[in-house]
Amino acid sequence: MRRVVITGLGVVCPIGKSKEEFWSNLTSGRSGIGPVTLFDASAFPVRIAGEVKHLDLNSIENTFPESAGIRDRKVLLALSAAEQALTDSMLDEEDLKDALLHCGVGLEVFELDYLTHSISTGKRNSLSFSRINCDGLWQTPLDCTAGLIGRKWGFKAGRITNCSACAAGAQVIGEAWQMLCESRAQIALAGATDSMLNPLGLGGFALLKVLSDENDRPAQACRPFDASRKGTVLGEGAAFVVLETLEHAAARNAGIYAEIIGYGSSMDAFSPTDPDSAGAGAVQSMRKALNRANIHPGSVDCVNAHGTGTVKNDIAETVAIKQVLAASAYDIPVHSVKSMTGHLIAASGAVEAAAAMLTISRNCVPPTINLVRPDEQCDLDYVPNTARVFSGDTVLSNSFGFGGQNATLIFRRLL
Amino acid sequence: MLEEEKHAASRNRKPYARIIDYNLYSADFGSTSNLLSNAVDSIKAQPNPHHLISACNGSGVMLNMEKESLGSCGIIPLTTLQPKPATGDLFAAAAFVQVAVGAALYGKPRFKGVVLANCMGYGSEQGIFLLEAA
Repeated sequence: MRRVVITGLGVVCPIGKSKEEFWSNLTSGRSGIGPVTLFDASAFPVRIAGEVKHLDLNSIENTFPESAGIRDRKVLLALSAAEQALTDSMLDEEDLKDALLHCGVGLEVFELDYLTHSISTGKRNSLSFSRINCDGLWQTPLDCTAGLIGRKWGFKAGRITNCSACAAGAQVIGEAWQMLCESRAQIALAGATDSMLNPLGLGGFALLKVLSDENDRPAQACRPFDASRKGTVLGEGAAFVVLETLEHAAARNAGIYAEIIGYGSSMDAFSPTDPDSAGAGAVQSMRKALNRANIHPGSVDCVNAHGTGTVKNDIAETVAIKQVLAASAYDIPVHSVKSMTGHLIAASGAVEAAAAMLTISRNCVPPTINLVRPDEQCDLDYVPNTARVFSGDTVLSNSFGFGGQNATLIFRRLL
Repeated sequence: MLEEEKHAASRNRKPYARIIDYNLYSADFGSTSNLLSNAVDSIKAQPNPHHLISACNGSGVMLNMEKESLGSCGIIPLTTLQPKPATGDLFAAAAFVQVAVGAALYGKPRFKGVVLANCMGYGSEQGIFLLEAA
């Protein structure tokens, strides 16, 4: 089995449109959540979200002329993040010819803005947006993102698209890692994207009663593990990473963020929306990752939690972490990126994987912000409000999705 | 259902077939002529397929292209089956039908040899599976 490392990453999310901006705001504890501006949410019970501010659509179109006319934000976010990751890796386009491409995307396939307008007005093509696809296409094909990225750089070794909700981002990285371990390729670009910030997306999640409705204080609305938490906040974003076999990376003196040493995945088979309260699926996901990494649970130095800020998830995840890590769970930091970005759904696992890699390479654990009074049932060290120095080597990153799909990645400093 | 061979044996389950290898390949839309040969080329160390589950939908052009691509890799199947004229093009479900038909062949009396199940996708995605008797 080959060793696999990360040699490039790109992030576009509510707290940054570049790796450096993302990391700076993440470690500063700066929230990217604010009032919804992408559409008129005044009639909605939830009017806050984590939006990517000032997305440069012209720049994306200049790099990807084929994307002209595409309005689906998740596709555009992905293109930007993918370009960042490949630029960061400094790989030649010739290297990508035999590279794998794994994309995680959001569950919905329709251009929800278009569908919302059509349903509400009864008119199919009458839109006033400036960038519209007027040929009546109601769908963003699931493989649209992979197709655009693949054709831009000539990825020929197979393209995989995954839509397993909040676990998608972690799963595509994990599946790409496995294929490189098995020598199916030397290089892979893996990442995920999502944007449900449209009336049907935000409205649908609000109906599930999983969103915080604290519209008067958006920056404090997502409070993972806090006793007063009221739910998560919907966000949008994308992150892509370049995976490379250690041999290939070393041969070209590539900069290495971290090594991926383990991946596990499981299914709760419990509920379409709620996690198994006993955390069984989450436990299985983490244990599978630890087994693949061939490390003892006590070797984990930090947990990048799924940490949504919903009442159910935070308790279930805490229970699961304690089951897997036992006493060592109390000795390590457990932090939530979502406290600042909101829940990026399909993209969350990839963005949080990027955070985990940077935790290792930059020796810093980001905080969980808005944590004032921990829930009595959440009694771990969640790194409240202030980042701290990280002197460990191993970070475990969890992603637990709607429908009970779970994924865990384990990263380690290259030894 | 895929199952690790020892696990199947431990519960006395007789497999339909064994998957020897697989490969995926992508190209720019329209560039289908090299897809199959490139996909097959990467598994050329494996046994030469004797039987082909063709991805063709009844088009003689596609069938000839498929044969030429395989021929360029030194593969000339003894027999060729085309499920799609009977099933229609099942898109996302098509590959499963291709592999299932290939696996089911091993249930026929005295059927021998390696089966190549070809799965050609819209947007120039290509997948191939090599099967043998379990």
